[in-house]
Amino acid sequence: MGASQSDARDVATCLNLIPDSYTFIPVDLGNCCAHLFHRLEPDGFIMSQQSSQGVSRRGFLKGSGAAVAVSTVVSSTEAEAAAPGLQVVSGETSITLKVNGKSMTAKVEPRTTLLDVLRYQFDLTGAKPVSLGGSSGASTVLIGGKAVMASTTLALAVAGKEVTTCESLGGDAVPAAFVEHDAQQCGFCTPGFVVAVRAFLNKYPNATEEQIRAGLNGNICRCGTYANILQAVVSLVKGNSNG
Amino acid sequence: MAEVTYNWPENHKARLIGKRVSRLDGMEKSTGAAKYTYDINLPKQLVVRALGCPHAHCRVISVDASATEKVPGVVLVHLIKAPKPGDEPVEIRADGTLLVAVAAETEAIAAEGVSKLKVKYELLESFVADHDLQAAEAKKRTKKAGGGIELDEAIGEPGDDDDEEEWEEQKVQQLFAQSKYVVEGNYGIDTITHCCLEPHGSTLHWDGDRLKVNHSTQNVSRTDDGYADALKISADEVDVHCEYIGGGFGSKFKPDYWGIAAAEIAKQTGRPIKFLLTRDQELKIGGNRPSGFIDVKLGADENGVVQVWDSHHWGTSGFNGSTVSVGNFPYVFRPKNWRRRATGIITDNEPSVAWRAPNHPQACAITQTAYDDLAAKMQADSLDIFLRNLENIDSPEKSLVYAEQLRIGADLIDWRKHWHLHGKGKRRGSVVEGLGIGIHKWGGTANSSNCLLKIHPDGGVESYCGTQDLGTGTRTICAMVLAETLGLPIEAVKVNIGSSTYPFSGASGGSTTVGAVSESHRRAAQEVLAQLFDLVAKRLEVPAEKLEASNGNISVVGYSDKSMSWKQACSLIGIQPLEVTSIYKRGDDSPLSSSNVAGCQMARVAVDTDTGVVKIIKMVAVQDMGLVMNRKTAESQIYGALIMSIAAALFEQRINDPKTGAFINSELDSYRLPRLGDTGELVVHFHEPENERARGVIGLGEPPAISGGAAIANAVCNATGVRVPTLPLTPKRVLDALRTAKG
Repeated sequence: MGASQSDARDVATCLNLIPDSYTFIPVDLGNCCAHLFHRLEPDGFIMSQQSSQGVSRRGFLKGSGAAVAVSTVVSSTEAEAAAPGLQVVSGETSITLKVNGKSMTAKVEPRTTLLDVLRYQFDLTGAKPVSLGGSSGASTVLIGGKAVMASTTLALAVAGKEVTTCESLGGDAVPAAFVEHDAQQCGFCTPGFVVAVRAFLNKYPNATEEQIRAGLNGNICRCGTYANILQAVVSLVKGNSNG
Repeated sequence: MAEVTYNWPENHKARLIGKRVSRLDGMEKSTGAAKYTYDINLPKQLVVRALGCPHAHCRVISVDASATEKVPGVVLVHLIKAPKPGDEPVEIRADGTLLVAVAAETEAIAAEGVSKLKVKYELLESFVADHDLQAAEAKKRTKKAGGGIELDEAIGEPGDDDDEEEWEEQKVQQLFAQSKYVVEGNYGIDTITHCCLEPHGSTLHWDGDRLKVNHSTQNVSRTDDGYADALKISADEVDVHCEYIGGGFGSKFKPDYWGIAAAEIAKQTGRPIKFLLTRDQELKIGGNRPSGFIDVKLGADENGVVQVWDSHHWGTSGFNGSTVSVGNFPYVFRPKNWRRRATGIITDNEPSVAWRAPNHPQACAITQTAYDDLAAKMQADSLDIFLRNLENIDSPEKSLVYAEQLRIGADLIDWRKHWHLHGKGKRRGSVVEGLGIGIHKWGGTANSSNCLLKIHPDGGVESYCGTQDLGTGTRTICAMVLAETLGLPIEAVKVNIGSSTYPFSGASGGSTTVGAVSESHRRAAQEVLAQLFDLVAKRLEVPAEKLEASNGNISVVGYSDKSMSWKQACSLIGIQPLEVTSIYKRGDDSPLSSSNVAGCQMARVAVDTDTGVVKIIKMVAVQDMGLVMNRKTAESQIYGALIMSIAAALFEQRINDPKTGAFINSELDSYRLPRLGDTGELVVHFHEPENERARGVIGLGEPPAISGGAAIANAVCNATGVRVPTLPLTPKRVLDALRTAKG
């Protein structure tokens, strides 16, 4: 009597024993965010995992060690109060982003994510809010040519940087190959996948099928279009996209 | 006008139907131009976030929203399932249940507002051990969920003096005593969640007394009723729109209580509202598929043909305490003698909703595994055992279809080359390989559907139909049918779907949509064309029945010089557009569509016996579907179904904390889904014997999503020689089963 248990220990097990194909190669975290999160943590600025916005509206620390270039108004009193070499940005401020080749201005708080700015201020809704912790890859955009999750990237951290979203890839070969190979069903994950594939192919233009299978595991599709995406990417490497 | 005979073009004449046609909205989806409910930003909208109950079973005593109300940008705090001051506590039966909504200027502010709510709870004992029947009985958490018995006529009937149950028990035991092989086993499959990538919800506003809703729904034509009922207005005062939906899988048919809350908040604030669930809430309350666990005993004759089946299964559909429907046990197979019983288990979880092929994947995974264990016990070839048992199936007229499909599947997966007896394969280090099978069935009857087709005097063609495209390619099929019928290029027709203001079309559930829209669009196009032919016939002075529409012309069959361009023909219409509304009612006898498919899937897997990790080497799906409409998107449906089967067989499961009842893996980093590298080689074969096309259109969404789990589970058993009883076959479970078998 009684089939095998589905107990809490399974979580630990399934996380520890991850098959080796289960990797997250191509999609990097925002290059500065992870670093900044560590610096912020002692001040309790990080909210719980359940919250979508990981950083308080109060402050955003800038430090020379964090390799961030933010051209924004900084409150001098808060900057002075912070540790040497660090500056604090607080409250709402205006930043300029270069999105798809255009300079665009956004009003952001320290906690505002790049995804929020794209979707709510620029109405660029291709990048999707699927898993704000970044494990779905649905909010993938390119920053300086690198694939980054907009949902885990703070807007302040990318001020002045070049952001490329799927909306600018209309003339690119990747969406065309996705259409040709029907690499989409409901389509909600598709823009993120398209950008991830673009970044992957930029880095590995001659990828083998094995490399493709290993290198595009940062994105989730629920409808199950992986077989079609694989076909699309193989065809892009081969330089033809005949369905 | 002569009466129109509805039909499909012959295969050699079809230009689009049955061919590989790229979906029309592919570029919009790939470049972010497709606007989903979540993407629609209305001027002055507020964004709503809600507090999900952190406990599986509790009473909500009171809510203190004073800190929330002080957050700049918070506009309204709205109680959903929580008491007003002075009211009785509200009992909550599922982790994640939405208690209080906060409407604010931005998502971040709404989330901050939610984090500042102070709620008092009284914790109540929870129960979530759906696999443990004895524990459920001890806690009085069970409900009878049906059952029955059928014995071969030759066995006779109980006498007047016999106690019926005792007599039945005696006969069942006699049948087991006569059996050459008896297999006893227990099997299971955990609850999984729909996990739509676009969470459930809506972006809506009031236009005076009229509610205009963008709703992520599989049921565009009928979601207005749900809003109207709850808001005490009439359905004609609600418009529902859904051009694109980010996944549904059976979970998005209703406004849901948070949709109603959104409408109420919009009314109170006088502003448009965007209210979609968070990822955590989507997994907890956005929809789940019930679990199933079973104790089985079967008896077979010397050929491995099952003669008697005796099972008791249980599982949970959440706090309403139902389980997988007993009618399908054992799945597809139906021995001459069977007894089956079902028990529902009441757990503190959100009630389940329909999931792609409701009941079938679970029934398949926990009964066809027993048939495979018979092969293991006999040290026989599983393929032979499946083939031999086709003499006793619930649709005997399908046995030859299954036999043929199993033969094709075996060829495609190289069964004879790779087969070995259970547990007797070659070992490469710690890795063993194995093969497994599952077979399935589905109806797929066309749903009701109406279509308004307009032909403009300038040749323009537009259609209106209140259907929806879940990603199956419905929009493209509507256009294909119209363009094929009218002899036009596909770009020449403008298809409009996704609005409740269009003619009614049924919900997309149960593989009913491709049939529905094929019926309504073909009928409308054939009727419009007949009217146009009458006009052209008069002008060309030929009989209308001699006309055909092809290549953008209407011409006399066999006389290409006697023709008119489409545009010229349409100029004969006059000044008003030609309009036809076709009406197809589900169940109407029609030559255009039918139902009932079979199908088989086979899996070849590798199992690392040191780590317990299972990898798919190859999967094969053989599927009949009547007349294939769009070969490209039909293939995608089957690929997707195979991948979903891999997901449920190896990765996904709802995990409740046994003590608190909490759903503890409700984020995508811990609710595991397969990734691109996890799928192995997938092969799709359309089974199209000579008479298949004449069956007309049959729905395809569900059938290929059924038997993959059984095939994978059986392949793992074949590889290791050990049955891992419960899906998903996580590394821990594989290792546990291997250790138990070693003793």
